[in-house]
Amino acid sequence: MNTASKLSLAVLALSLVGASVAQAQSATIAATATVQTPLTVTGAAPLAFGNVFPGLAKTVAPADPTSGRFTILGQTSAEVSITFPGLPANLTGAGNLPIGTYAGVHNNTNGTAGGTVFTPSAASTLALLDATTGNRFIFIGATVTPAVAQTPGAYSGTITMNVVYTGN
Amino acid sequence: MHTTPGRILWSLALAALFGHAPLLAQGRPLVPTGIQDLGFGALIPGIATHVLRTDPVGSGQFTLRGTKDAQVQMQFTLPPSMSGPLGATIPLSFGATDGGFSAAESITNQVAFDPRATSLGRLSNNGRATIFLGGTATPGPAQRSGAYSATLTLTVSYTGL
Repeated sequence: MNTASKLSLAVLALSLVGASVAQAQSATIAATATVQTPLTVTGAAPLAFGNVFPGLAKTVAPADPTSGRFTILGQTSAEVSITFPGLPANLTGAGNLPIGTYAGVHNNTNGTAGGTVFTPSAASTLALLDATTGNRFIFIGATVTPAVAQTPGAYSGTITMNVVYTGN
Repeated sequence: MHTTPGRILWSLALAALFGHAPLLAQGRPLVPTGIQDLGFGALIPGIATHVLRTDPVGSGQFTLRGTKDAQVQMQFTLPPSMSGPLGATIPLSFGATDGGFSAAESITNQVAFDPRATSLGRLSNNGRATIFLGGTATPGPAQRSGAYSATLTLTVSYTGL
C-alpha cells in the first residue's frame, strides 16, 4: 500500500472515531392527561314547608319527603367541593319569614339512608361522586320560624348550591 | 512498509481502529434517559392546566450521563397537542422558562431555558445532569372526556467544548 492509501485509511479511521463522539442521542417521555366528565348540577325538588302557622316553628328534615334536593353528575369517583353561598335568612312574601338551621345529607344513592350528614354553608363540603354512576344526591332541610303576627300568604326564597372538582 | 512516515500513519490508523485516538479527547458516550412523564393529571374541560418544571410529580424528567464537565446541546421535539378518544386533541404549549437544566440533578436547583429552542448545558464533574420540563394543556369547554397522551423527544449531543 502506498503512502497516499495509508494516509486515507488513517484519516478514515480517525473520522469514524470523531463521528461517534459527536453523534446525537435521543430519549422520549410521554405527556399524559385525563379529561374529567363535566359536572352537571340539577335542582331536583324544592324545600317545601307547606302550611305554616304563626308563632309555630316548622322543620323539614333532609329525610322528609318535602326536603330540597339537588343531583350532581360528573366523573366517577371524583372528589367535589360543595358550597352554599348566601343561604337565605328569610323567605320573602307579604313580609319576611325567617329561615335557618339548615341541615343536609349527601349520598351516592337517591335516598338519605346511609348518607353523610353535613351542614350546608358557604364553607366547603367534600364528597365523592359514585364510582359507577358519577352521581351524588343532596338533601336539604331547614326550619322556618313564623312570628306570632306573621302576615298570611305565600313565601319563597332561593337556595343556590355550587359544585366544583377538587382535582382529587 | 519501511518508511518512517508510513509507520506513523499505520500507527494512527490502528490506534483509531482499536479505540485509541491520540488526537481526540477520550470521553464517555452521551446517554439521555427519560425517567418521568409530563403528567397533567385530571383536566377539567375549559380550564387550562400548567405543570411547572419544578413540580416533583408532574414535571417531565430526563437524566444525562456522559463525559464529566462536557458541554452538551439539547433540543426538544415538542408536539402541538395530545391525542385522545375518537380523535380528540388537547393543545399543548411550552413557555420560555418551561425547561430546566440541573448539573446537580436537583429539581430545586435548575437553570431555566426555553425548550422550544436549542440550548446548551454542561455536565457535572461526574458527567451527570437532569433536565426538567413543564408545559400547559388547554382543554376546550366541550373537551371529550378520557385519556390523552403525546410523545416528547429530547435529543442531545456533545458540542466538543
